[in-house]
Amino acid sequence: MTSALVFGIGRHRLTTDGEGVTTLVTFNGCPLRCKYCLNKISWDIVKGRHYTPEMLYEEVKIDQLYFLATHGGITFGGGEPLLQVDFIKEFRVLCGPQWQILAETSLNVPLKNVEALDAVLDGYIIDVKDMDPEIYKAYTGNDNALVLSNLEWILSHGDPNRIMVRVPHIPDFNTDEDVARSMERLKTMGVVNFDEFTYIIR
Amino acid sequence: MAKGKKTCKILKEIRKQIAAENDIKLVVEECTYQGDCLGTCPKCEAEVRYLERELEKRQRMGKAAVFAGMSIGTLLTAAACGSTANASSSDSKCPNSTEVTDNTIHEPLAGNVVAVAPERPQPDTIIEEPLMGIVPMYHDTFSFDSEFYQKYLKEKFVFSGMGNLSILGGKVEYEHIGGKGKLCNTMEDLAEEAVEFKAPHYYGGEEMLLEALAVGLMDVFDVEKIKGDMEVEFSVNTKGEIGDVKIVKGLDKVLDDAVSSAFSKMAWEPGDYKLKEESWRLPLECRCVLKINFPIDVPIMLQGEPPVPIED
Repeated sequence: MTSALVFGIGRHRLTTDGEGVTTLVTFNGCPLRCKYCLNKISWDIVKGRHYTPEMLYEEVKIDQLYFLATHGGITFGGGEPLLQVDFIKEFRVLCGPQWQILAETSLNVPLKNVEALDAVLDGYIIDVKDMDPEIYKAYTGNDNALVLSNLEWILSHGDPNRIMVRVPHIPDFNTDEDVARSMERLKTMGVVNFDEFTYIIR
Repeated sequence: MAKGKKTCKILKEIRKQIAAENDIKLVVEECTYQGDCLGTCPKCEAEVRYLERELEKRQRMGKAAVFAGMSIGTLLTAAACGSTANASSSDSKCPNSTEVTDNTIHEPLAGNVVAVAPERPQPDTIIEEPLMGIVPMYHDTFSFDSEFYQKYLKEKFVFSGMGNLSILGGKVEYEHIGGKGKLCNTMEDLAEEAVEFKAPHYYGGEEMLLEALAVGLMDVFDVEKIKGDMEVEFSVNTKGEIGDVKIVKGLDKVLDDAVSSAFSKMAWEPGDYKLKEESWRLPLECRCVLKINFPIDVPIMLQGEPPVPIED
């Protein structure tokens, strides 16, 4: 039986991470260790609440009417949602094609995960941190080779409009010039939708 | 406008439009609640369930549900202007499209979520103090030997003891009940500096609670003649549902049953808490005790004639 650890379910999100009314479901487990991570609980892969796709569907379908009326649905985040391939595929079978399913992802996952979920997802919200490998490593503790190759794969396998790339200004880690360079490179790759913003440090 | 109220207003607008598009009669009452709003409440949820039932009825009659596609961006603007939106669908497949109004500062990825309620033991302590009229006493207990709480709090507070944390109104108390090792930081630090608690309460406040109670007591014969204190204990779960109602101190069998029944049908705003450094709130299941001083200060409209004794 497929199950996953979920540490958060946030209902009634309006344009925060999707087009309509969305419910954010956050999984435990993340390959990154971002310095300003707000949800460090997601790093823990033991503690949390186990959900099967059926359990989650039963819980979130309470907002189906809003999803259908506003072109909304579920945004899987975390943690890293693309580590939960089987769970999300089974969830899609349960909720049907009308709900929008998005993934808020770092894309720092094996390509096979992206390939397996691409047809299941309606869109991606991708936080690339910074395109510079050294800045990325300093901030996340990991390298960004998989991010770039996965992004290229997604861009070459569908409409670029299904992707929103978040390009953060990360205090003490990158500069405005670094962000501008990242965006230039992303535009060259074919990215058309950007969300440029500043991380809030708490 | 507070975020919760704004969300509530937009969701209400969506419900109105669903009703209009599907020719469903929906009377939406203006919410007069002035406290913190989570964006929805049992009353709002009841409207959604009503719409679902009406749509199902129509589908059984062969009518397809109509969802013209509403733009949240338009509704947000309408909510800000206080007018009804003429929403239309967006053709863009882009997740955030062009409708994000603030593009300068956002939370980091996946921030601002409401955490899933932890599985936790039922509290077992009742706090009592002399009260007048109807005053809620909220309390809850946390067992700090729970791995969940250790995990959540361990970065600032390391626990190796066991104890109960109680909430009485806004005041938090800790009772150490044993366990190995010692508490590395004091519970006072935790309660005052690290955690914010919000107790559950009846939507609309105590006045509305009394009115709801009065409605439930309409069939109690001579209720206005019953005097004294009653204590009712109940749970408010993380969805605001009332359960496990017990009359701790009763006054009259019929009245006790009526009060118990009235509470069982109520919906409350659930309690919650948050770590002060975090943005999300954890829903909190609470066990509450109310002391009700009869006769209550709300007119109770009696219906029908007094019951006639049944002859054998």
